[in-house]
Amino acid sequence: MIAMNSRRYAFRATGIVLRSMWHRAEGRFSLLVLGVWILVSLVSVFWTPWSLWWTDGYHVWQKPSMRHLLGTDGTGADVLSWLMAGSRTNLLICVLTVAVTAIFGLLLLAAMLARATIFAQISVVVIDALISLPTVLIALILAVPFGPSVAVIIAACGFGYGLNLARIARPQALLIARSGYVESALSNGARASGVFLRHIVPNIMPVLTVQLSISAGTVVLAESGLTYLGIGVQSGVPSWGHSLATSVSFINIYPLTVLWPGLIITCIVLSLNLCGDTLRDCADPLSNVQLRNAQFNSGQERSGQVRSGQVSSGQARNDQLNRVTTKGSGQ
Amino acid sequence: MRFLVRRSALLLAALFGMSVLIFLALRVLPGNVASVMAGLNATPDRIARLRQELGLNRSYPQQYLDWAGDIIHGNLGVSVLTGRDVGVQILSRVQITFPLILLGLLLSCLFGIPLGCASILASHAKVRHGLHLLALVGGAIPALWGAMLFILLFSKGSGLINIFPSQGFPDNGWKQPGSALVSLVLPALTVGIIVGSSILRYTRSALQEMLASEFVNMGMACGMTRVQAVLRIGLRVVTPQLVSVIGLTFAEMITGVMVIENLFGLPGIGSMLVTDIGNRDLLTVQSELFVLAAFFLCIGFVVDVLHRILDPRLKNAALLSSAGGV
Amino acid sequence: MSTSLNAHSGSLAKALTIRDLDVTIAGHSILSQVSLDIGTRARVGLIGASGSGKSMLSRSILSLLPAHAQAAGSIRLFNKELVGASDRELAEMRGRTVGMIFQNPASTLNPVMKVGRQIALPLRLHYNLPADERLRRVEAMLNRVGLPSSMLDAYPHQLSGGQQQRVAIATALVTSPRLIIADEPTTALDSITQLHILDLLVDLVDQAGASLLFITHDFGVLAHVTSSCYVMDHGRIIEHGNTSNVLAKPSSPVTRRLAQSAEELKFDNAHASLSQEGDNND
Repeated sequence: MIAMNSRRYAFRATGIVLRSMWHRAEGRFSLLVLGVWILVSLVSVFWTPWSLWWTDGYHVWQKPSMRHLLGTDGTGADVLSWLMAGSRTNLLICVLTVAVTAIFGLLLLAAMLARATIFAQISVVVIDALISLPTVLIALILAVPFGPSVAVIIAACGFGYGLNLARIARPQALLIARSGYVESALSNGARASGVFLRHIVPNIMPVLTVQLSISAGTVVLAESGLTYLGIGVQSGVPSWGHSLATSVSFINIYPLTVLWPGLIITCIVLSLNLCGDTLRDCADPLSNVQLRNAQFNSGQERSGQVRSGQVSSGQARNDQLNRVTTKGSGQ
Repeated sequence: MRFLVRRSALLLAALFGMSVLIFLALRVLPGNVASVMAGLNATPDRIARLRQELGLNRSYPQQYLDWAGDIIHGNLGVSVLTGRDVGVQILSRVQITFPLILLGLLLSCLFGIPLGCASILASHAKVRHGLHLLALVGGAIPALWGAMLFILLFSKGSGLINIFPSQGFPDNGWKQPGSALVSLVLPALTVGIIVGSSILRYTRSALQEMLASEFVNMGMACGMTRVQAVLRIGLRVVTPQLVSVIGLTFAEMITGVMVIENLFGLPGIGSMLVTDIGNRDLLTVQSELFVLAAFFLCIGFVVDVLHRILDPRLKNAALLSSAGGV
Repeated sequence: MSTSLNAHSGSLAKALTIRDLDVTIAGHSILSQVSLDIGTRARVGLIGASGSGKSMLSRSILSLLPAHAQAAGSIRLFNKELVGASDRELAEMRGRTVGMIFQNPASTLNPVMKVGRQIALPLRLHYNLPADERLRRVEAMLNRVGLPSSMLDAYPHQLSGGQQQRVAIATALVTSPRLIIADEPTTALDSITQLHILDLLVDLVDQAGASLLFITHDFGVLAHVTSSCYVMDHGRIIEHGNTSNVLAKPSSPVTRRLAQSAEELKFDNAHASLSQEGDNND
């Protein structure tokens, strides 16, 4: 019964959050762009205008036409098809990196909050020492033994962004970990892992949302950079970075081909960043009245969530700081 | 002082950790270092000779100790493929990468910080929104693409406005300071604009928070205008944070710097690494990676120390004091 | 609005005269039709529950409102109109004619500025004094608020809450302004420190011959510091007059409720017993 109720609540809350995002210009832009991205990725699995491996040596570097909407590249392959296929690779990288970042970051965070203080101190210090290592270096260290691959991008970026996530979320998490209700839960015999998942994670949701959305954007940028350097996506695998990198050498002769992948990457990264910001604002029960009412009506106001409202109002300001302490775009 | 000692110890520990990590990363190769270096068509005989030559037939700890000992003595080894001293090679590459990084950092601060202030303080809402948009869009542009747009716009020969060379670096390097500097202009400008828009965004959000803060109100109550108070008090209060962020942003932006180096045909660290990895010159790569890692760990060290110096609140706090348990 | 109409007349002798002040922020009315007078050398209280708009009133006098706030009406400070004055004129007035003490010193004192520089800031901004003269004045002011000269080189975070508020008072008073606005200056402090700070403030204001606008939500504190007072609720002045009259015979239910809670806290009794052992150990 309770499970039913909370599932219904989750649906309603998602609906409300999406709707209020839609009502903002930047939210609408990002939802539209991300929606199209997912749709195109799905379509590209089954259909692209031309086969990826269909090339026409007589019609290389074609200008956009009805036959090839975005023209052809240096091998005569259809640019649009490659970009469509690239979107699914990038979506995969994006989703997996965010997942790795979230898991690794939360594990680190849990380590930093561990009750064994020596352990916590060591993890804080290790993160401090490693935070300045750029993802490209990690990618290089991985790419030398294993060769360039999608997995290298995901591992390197997930590692770097996870460190960053843990470092940024720590002050907030520490505040909650030291609060009365966490202590009382612990003294009532709750397991530390349960407390972490039930109390601390929901309360740092605003930071997590923003950080993960930034990670998602940054990994799209990183993919193009790493692929160009030869330590990203293997050649032959369609990705936007791949499309960008292959057209680079001919930039002076065929500038138009270079335009599309860059434009797509910029749009996607922009909307991922905007999406994180608006999502944070719209999912904050304090500033979103509808959401608060829904929460109230379905009796979801557990102690943790009331607190989460309070924390996130301070968060609205603190978030700026979090933005500030975020690693820059790793390209 | 105590902080400095502890932080230095941490730096050394991190350097040691990274060296082990890099060493091991090259040893988990499927096959082994020698066969990879020798290439696909190498005879077993050749591989064995190479192993012998490179000392790869010794135990791992022994290899590691030799390598680490050499590095401590400043000897980064000699490339087997080119026969050149790795240290000398890195030094010559650094002469390009380092000025590029410094120039880019300078430009990005010159671009990002004042515009970040303007995006908060400008009296016209349109200016403020425009700068915010610039920060968002600028931060979303891939370095590779941004650099290409710059080439299309400004490069000699093919750009719309023929000013700066877009390819290469003078052969005799800094002996021709004029043309060396000119060849760095476009790359540095690209780095500057892209990193600058990140810095613009950080400055903007930090100052936005300051705008409503009591620190600024206090400055105004003492007799400043709002603009004065934000610039003289708000900016100073967020400086430690900004320094940390700019330092880390820059460390992260090294990917962009490598991309840009490659694109503009500058023989810097980035293109060296890419070439050596492509050539499977693994022992060279091992030393190069370590130098690079050491460089960034040092950046982290400097940023932390600077943060300490700039923020008196942290001066008496111990390195570990903020760690606490649930 | 029970007492004296003549409080509204003769604004020439007034330090501060506010007439029909309306403040709106993003379409929401924050203050409406506020009128208020402070005579020279008078200590006037402004009391109200949290959110009643009393802090907004103090901030609108100094134009410290958020940038998008709009004010209409009249605020005359020593016969100079402040509504619609330029940024420069307002900045010139702040810290020179009016000194302000904020609620929470920990979040107002610049964390990266030493105490000495903090106190010297208004002097620097308004008076072109030689450095040694400025230092002398700052040091004298620091001693007058009961802090040793050695604290000139301390950072705010190294001081206790009471010491921080003393620094804030010194900063507000160092230029000898003719009007001091204190916005709940003791709310963030414990009750013993609170008394020391209040006594110090009253002493210094009286010695300097300045006027005081004292904002609080605590009737006990109000009775201790001020002789007349205004009561605010929902952005309006609902009552004003002699503090002891308002306290004894509140005419509106809001005031009655505030007065009752003050009664329960029995601030005055506590004060009587404490002031006998009164010293400076904040």
